[in-house]
Amino acid sequence: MSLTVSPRRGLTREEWARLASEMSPPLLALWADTREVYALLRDGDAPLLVSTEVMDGEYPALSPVRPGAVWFERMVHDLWGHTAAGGTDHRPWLDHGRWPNSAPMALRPGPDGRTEAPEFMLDEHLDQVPLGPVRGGIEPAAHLRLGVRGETIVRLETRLGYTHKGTLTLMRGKSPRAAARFAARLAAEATVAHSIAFARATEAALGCDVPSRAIALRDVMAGVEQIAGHLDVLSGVAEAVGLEVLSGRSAWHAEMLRRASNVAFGHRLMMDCVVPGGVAADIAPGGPEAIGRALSGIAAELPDLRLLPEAGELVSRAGNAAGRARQRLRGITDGIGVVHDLLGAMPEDAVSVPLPVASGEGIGGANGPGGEVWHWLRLDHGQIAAAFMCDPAWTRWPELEATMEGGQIDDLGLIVASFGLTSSGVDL
Amino acid sequence: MLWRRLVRTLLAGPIAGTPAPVDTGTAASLAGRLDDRGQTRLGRSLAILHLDAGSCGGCEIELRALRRAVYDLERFGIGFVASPRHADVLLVTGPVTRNLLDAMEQAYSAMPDPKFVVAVGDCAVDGGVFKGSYAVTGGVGTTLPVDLLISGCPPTPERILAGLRALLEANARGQAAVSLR
Repeated sequence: MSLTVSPRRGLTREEWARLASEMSPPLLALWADTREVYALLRDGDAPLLVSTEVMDGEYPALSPVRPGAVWFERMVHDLWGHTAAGGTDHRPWLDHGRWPNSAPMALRPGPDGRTEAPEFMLDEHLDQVPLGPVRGGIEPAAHLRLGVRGETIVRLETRLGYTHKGTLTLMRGKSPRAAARFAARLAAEATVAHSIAFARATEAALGCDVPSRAIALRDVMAGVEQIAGHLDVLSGVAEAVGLEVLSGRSAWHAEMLRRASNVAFGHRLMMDCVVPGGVAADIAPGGPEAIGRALSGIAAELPDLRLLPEAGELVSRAGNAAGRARQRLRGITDGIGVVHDLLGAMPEDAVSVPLPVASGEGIGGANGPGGEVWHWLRLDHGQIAAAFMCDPAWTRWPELEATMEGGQIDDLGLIVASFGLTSSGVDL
Repeated sequence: MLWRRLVRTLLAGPIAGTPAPVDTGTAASLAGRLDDRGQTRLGRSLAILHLDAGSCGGCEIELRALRRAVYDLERFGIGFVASPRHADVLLVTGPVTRNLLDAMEQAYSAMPDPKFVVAVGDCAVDGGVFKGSYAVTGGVGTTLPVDLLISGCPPTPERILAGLRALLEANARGQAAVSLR
């Protein structure tokens, strides 16, 4: 899958309306600024960015044919005040009626207190089990509302927005270097991926090329982040089915990898290590060896870790948790090879270039442990005029809702662990 | 095979690392706080309720590491619980978003006395990079009385562990039967 995007195409209202009536191409993300709405679509192998102007506060909704658009449309309404005409769901999403203003990113934000947290739409004949937003354990803030009949979950509805921090507003008016700290703190399990996608969007907007050594170091960091993230999720899955030894071994290797990252890049999660224009600093002496040792340890343990998806309990239970665990294991296997190769042939070059102060628009993507992340921004004389960041959790949470349908309450913990979801990436 | 792994694990002993000694300075100042408030002691264990008040997930990654094999928090008598009614400590991460404020206040008021509030991470300490946003209040201290601040973005597991163990010592001091091992 290519992460290079062709320039944005402005659509007339008729062309956008046509888009709204066809299933394909599938939607990756939808967002807005004060004047336009933007849709990122998957056109064959390459992503395609289109936009249309908002007229009289409205734009044609995509949700009637693309159910994946519905959370985005509600978010666009809560942040910018643009209404999706003909949309399937007009309940609030991020705005729980607690902010000083409604539509805080609009040209003229509205008065406060116009709304409440969204009501649940579960069938009233079902028993309801409320979970969250404070769920105990070490879980992200989210409210899971289960509509159950006996022990069976008929429907799961999620309410997010609890971790909304107004990040996009804070990024406006800042230089890309300053705003990169916010990109790195959208969703910590993919902090490197978000930093890379943000940096690529900036570099695309300014038309600047990054030195080959910086590109290789970014790929090393992204690979390490993905392997550590996969190990964390596997540890949680093993814990949920009571395989304490495998859980402990996965956690041990994740910890060794994070210590190696600290040696190599100066931060356990490699937060703020990727900056627009390159990387913040070169890899430390002894860093490649530390990462290499941690990876060899994981490679030696892989035959044991591969037993996890075959564990009886995991296979017999609903929701394909075993399938997701296998996917994570494949990610670890591939990642180890990629990082080893990169460390073996590191090009000699600068690690960053200075950024020009200019105007432009750009979009960039990167791979994180949970999937692709996308960043878009528009620069006005070196300052961010508008930006959006898309985390894979936008599609993964609805996937969890669909997976839980018809499942058992007992399996909820295991299936949630196998998804490894966080709220902050969606909540912005 | 898994049984080989099990045998090897049994022979090799635990993988948990050796902990550093407790920071007596922090423990003493926390003990002073307890005396000032005339709080009853909780004994040599702490039940923690974790509350994500808008964290990006970084502090949670380190908290999970702290609970799992390498740091093995439970061996110090510190564990995570699911309900505020069972908790001695409210451990808050994130800059305290307005959308979560009600839930945080409810969780705190549902906890039985004596209770502590611990702010973990730069966001929970004072709002961190999110300070000044319309959607956050800017740290736990704006709403609840905070007993312990653990800064860092995110703080390392060692750092969080040092803070929690200092709290445990402050709380247990004077109980002669218990050694500081």
